[in-house]
Amino acid sequence: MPVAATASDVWTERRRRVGELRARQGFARQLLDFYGALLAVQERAFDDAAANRPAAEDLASYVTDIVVPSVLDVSLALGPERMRSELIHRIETEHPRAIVLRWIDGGEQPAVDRFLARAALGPVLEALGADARRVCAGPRDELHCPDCGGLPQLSYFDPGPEDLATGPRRLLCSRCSATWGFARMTCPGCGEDRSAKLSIFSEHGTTSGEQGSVVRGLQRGVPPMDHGAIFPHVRIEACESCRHYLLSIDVASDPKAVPVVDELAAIPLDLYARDRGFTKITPNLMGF
Amino acid sequence: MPTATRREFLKIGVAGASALAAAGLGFDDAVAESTKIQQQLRIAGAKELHSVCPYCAVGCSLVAYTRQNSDGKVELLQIEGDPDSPVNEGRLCPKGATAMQLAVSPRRVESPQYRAPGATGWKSVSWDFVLDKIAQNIKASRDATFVATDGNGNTVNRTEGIAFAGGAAFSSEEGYFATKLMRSLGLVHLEQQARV
Repeated sequence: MPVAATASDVWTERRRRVGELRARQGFARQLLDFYGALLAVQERAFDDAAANRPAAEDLASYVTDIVVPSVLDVSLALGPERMRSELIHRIETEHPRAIVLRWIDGGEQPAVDRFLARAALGPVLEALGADARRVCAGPRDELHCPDCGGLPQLSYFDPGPEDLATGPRRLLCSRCSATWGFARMTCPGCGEDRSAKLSIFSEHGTTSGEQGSVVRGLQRGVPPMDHGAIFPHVRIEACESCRHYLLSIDVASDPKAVPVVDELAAIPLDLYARDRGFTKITPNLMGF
Repeated sequence: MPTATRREFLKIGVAGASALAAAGLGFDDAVAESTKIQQQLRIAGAKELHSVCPYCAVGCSLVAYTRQNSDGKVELLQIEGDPDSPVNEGRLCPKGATAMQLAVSPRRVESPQYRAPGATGWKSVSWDFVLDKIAQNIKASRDATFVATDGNGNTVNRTEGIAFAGGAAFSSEEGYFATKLMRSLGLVHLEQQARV
C-alpha cells in the first residue's frame, strides 16, 4: 500500500513537477515559472494556517490579511502584464475581502478575481481540512466536493493496488483540493453515463494496444516505446450532453505526475477541447 | 469526428486561442506556444464501453477502449478491469487481463482446422465443410452406439458413444442451448469447464 503523503511532501512534489514539466513542456514555461513562484507563497500560507488554525467564521478576514498581500506581491512582480494591470485595477476598486468572500460564496467573478481569491484561499483550506471547508457555499452532491461544495477541477486515476488492477477514478476540488471517488464512465459535469455521449480525446500511441501490449501496464518496468506523444498520460474527457470537459491525468501510466500541476501545463489540450466547442467544467487557477 | 479543411482548422485554432487569451490572465506567450503544439497533436476521439470478461463464471467487469478510424472501422485499443465494478474492483486475473487477445492477436486462428484420418498435419477448411463433417460424425457415432433399452428392458434412449464438453467462454444462454441440444441427441456425458 502506498504511504500517505505528508503536508510538506505535497508542496515538494508540486515544485518537483513544475521543474520536470518546465524542462519537458517548453510551451508552458511562462505559466510554470509563475506558478513555481506562487507555490512558495502558497506553501507558506499553508504552514501558517496549519499553525494558526483560524476559526471558520474568520476565514475570509484571515486570508485577506495574511495571504492576499503575499499573493499580490508575487503576482505584481512576476505575473503577466494583463494580470498585473487587472489586479491593480481590482484592488483599487474593490476590497480584497469582498473578492475572497464571493469565491467562498460561489458567486460569478471575473478571471482575475477568481485567481486572487483562489490562490490565497486554496492553501488555507487545504491546511485546515473539512471543518473550515464547510463554510463554503455549494451543493454537496456527487458532482461537487463533499467538503466545500466546489466544482471538480480535474480527474485522475490512481495506480491500482496491484499490477493487473485498474485504480479508481478520483475528482479533485477546484476550491479546496479535496478529492472524492467518482464513477469512471460518468460525466462529472452533468452525471451523463451513456457511453455514446462521452468522448475521450487522447493522443495516438497512448493506449496499451498501440504500445504493443494487450495488458495495460505490462510495459511497466521496461523502457516505454516512444510514440512521440506529448501528453501520454493526459486525456480530455468530454460530454456531448452538457458540452463540458475536464482533463484526466493517469498517474498509473506516469507515476511522477502531480495532477494539479500536469493539468495546468496541458494548455494545448484545453485549446483542442475548446476548438471543438467544449467548455471546461471550471477554469483552473491560471484561467485555462 | 468533425472534419475541417486545413484553412478552417487554422482559423478555428487561432479563434480558439484568441478566445482563450482574451478570457485569461495574460499568459499570451504560453497560449501562442501551445497553439503551435496543438496543431501538431495527433488526437482522436475514442469511447469507453462496459463489457464482461468471457472466460469464467466470475463475470469480471471490463472497460474496453475503442476508437473509430477514418475508414469507419472500430479499433479495440485497450481492455482493463472496471474499477467501479463490485465484482472485481478493477482487478483482472492474468487470463482476463489478456482478453484483448481474443480480438486482436495476430496468432488467432481465423478458420476451422481439419486433420483427416491418417493425415500428419492440419489444414484450413471452410465452415460449411466442418459443420457437415461434424454432423456426419455425430450421426455415425450416434447410430453405432445408441442404446434404446438397458439390460432390464427399461427404455433409456441414450447415446453412449459421444461426450460433450462446454468451454469456459460459454455464456449462460449458450450453456443452456448446448445442454438442450445434447440431451435431445441422447447424450449422458456432459461436462462444462466453468472456471479458468
